[in-house]
Amino acid sequence: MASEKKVVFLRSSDGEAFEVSEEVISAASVTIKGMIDEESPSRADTAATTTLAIPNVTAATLSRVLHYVNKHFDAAAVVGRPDDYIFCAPGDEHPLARFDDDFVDVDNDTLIDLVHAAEYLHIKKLFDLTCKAVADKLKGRTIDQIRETFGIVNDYTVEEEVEVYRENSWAF
Amino acid sequence: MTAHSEHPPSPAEPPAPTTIRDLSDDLLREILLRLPSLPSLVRAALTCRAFLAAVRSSPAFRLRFRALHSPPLLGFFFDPDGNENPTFTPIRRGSDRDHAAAVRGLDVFLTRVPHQDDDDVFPGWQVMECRGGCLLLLNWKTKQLAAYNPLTGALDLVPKLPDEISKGHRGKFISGDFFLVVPDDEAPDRRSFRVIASCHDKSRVRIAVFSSATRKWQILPWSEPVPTQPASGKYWLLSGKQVNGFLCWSHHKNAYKVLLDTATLQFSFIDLPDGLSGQGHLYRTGDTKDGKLCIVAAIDFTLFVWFRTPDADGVDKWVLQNVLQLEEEVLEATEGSLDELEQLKVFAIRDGIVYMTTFETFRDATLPCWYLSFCLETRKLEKLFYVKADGHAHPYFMPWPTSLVGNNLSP
Repeated sequence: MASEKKVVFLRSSDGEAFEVSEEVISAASVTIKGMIDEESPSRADTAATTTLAIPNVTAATLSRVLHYVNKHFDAAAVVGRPDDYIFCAPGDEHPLARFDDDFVDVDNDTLIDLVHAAEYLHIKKLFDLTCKAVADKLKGRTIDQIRETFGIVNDYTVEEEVEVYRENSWAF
Repeated sequence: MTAHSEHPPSPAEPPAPTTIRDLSDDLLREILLRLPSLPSLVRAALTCRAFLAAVRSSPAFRLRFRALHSPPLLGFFFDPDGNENPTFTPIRRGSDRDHAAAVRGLDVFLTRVPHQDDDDVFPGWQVMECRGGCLLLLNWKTKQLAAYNPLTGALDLVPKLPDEISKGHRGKFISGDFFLVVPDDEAPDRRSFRVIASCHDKSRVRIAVFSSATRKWQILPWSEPVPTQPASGKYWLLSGKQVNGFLCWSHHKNAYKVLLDTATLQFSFIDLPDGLSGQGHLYRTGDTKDGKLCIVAAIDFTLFVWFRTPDADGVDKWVLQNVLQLEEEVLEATEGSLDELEQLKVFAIRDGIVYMTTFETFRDATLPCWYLSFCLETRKLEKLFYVKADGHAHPYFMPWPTSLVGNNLSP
């Protein structure tokens, strides 16, 4: 058995279980690594596979996250440069840049779910990628266009709106 | 498609998706931090109360945002010599549409600034300084002053400097510079400002201060005589610069600077780095990213950079920080030749970024020259634009809107 790779199961908030290599998910997610480390003593003498409950992430989101994790953190995966997505423009020579671009090319709500999941699971690269993707959807739009794109309701009072407009009329 | 609509197959209802409004303030700020520029942040933050509150309630976020983004330079106001009107040249940032919108929003023609006698041909306004998003304008005909924010349109007419400032002068009275002193972006009352006017006689300096709160000019006493009496010439003080809480002027020949602390209004005198006395045309004084005083001199294509740094005993000294050869880099970036470009000339240093031109005083002024910026920290050289040198250039930085900082709106 020693030669076989250990796996863990992650159970989504809506009850679906996903199999993932323990090594890969531990490298990717600080949160899950912590959970596995906590479980280890009791696990040592049983052959049973561990199932971890991920109560904050739905199956739809979790399967996307694992797709990303397997691409970025599998031992066989390409060795990238140290990442900092804050200033990493799409199209840069990063080997997974194309994958990443496609990965975040999803609707707004899916993207926000991914931000939440990346934060909860503490996957820094995914967090940077998804936050940057939301920022990219915000930029270059007028205030009304942003409201329309993200379904944000203008909740200023008339007086507040006048005040904000007076100082920032260019932004509208 | 409608056949099953009355009895939809109903497995467990899919969980409701989260939307951008469900993000915690911390998560929202992480996203806003990754916007490309201050103009993009302003637009995003103003969409609703919650977004605005997330920015307004966190000085730490604003600090991080400033640290991660280059200063929001929208362009340069040029103050031509003679009686022409000021002009403006924008900075273009190709893909940043929010930056472009802010540039478009600037009233660069100063259309809201009135002029007397309905002289539409020669309105007479000259740019003295540009601080906190405001221009300090002086009318060369009427001596009227105005503080004007071309982004918001806010205009404040400042009374003329009283003639009494010359009272008690010894020797020739020489009027000096005007400065606009504004609170920093995080100050509680951003709308207040001061105008400081300077002058000197044969051996002393003096200032007058206009405060927007009192609407009055206050003329301060003449200073003590300056350290070394000028050996010759009545114009012994070069034109001044405002640098991070100080106004400073170099002596035209001797190796010192006159400093005025804008908080205490006290004068002091500091030395100049070796070799710079009498060389006012070669260098400019400014501040580093962390607010230290610095001097950058350009000789041909080499920059000499001094920081004012405390020594082992805690005494501030000029320390030659860097000698940077930029010839190759400038030639490569501009695809120019040495003959064309001749040399670099520094005209401003703000927040550790040196602004310079390839303009040389004695060259043909009808030929265009390169405007460049150089970051002292990252050593990044950037081309700004290629235009004819048109008088003094004043960088215009977009200020943080008070609505993103102040607490004038309840959340």
